[in-house]
Amino acid sequence: MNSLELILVAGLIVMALVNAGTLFWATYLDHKLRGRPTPKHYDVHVEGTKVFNDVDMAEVEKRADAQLLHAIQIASQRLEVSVNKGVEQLAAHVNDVASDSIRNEFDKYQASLRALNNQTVEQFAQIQTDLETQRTELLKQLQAEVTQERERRLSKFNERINDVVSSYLAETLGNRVDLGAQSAYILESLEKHKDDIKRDILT
Amino acid sequence: MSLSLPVDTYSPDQLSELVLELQDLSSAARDANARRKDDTTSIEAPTLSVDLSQLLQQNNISPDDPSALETFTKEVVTTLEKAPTVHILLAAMPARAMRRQIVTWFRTEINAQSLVTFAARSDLGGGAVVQVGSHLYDLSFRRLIIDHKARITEIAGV
Repeated sequence: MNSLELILVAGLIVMALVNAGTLFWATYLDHKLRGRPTPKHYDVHVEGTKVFNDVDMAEVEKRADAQLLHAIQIASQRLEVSVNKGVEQLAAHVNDVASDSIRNEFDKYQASLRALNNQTVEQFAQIQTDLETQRTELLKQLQAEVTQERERRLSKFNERINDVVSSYLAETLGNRVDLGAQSAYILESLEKHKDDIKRDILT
Repeated sequence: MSLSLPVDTYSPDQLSELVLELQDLSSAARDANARRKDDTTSIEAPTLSVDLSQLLQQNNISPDDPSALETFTKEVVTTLEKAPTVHILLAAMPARAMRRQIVTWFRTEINAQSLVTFAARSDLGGGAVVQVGSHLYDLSFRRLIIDHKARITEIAGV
């Protein structure tokens, strides 16, 4: 359960407590009203001294009941308004508290996310650097191996090609070589190397 | 060194043979001169090889002059020892005309007393391999083919 959920549960509990408190308050007021000491009725039988007759008494009771009802209605309305106002204030307060808590948690969450992000970026950069270094080394190694293998194969190929060409020429031409046709080429080739040959002879 | 070698006398072996022949000729000429003083009978002149005749003729040496022959023999021996020798390998043994062309080229362009040996190797295909001292000039067709491997298929007709 994370912090947000804890806050929400706490808010619900507070709301439940507020409602319970409100109900308790209403019950208390109701009991208070009901527990008001009722006027004692004394049966005074003074036949000769009756202030109100039965008709007047009924009228007085009726008016008193009406006034009492009116007073209860007003008190009830006031209580309702007061309770509603209290509930709204409480809700607003709970909202503020929850918002503050959420904001704080969110800020912390953002900060930790940012830190995590930075750490991840650093780690990725490090990994990238390592990979690049490794790749460069591998590439160098591979190039060296390729070059070595190429040289080896080329050398082997040259050895074989020398044999192949020599065999091919010996088999195909044999003794049927027309040197007369080659004399121009031979003299031309000698002419090209004349300076080198002269130098070799002098040394 | 003013010795002039005929174009057909090109190899050290030929020159060695000529030296031997010259030595014989010189000794024969000396004997003939000695006998001529005592005897009036005519003495038969020794038979000379074509190469020696050419050599003597080209250098204005008389075969009857023993002292000139001795001097000339020494000169030929010196030439044999000091003349530059070039070894040429061809795809086949060259005919006389071609030998003359090559020898002439060396004596004109390189050294007037160049000596040349010829040998054949069929796997050269053509061209020549020239060895001068410790240096080797591979001017053969085989070298050309190997140096242009990418075009080998053209020769094979593939």
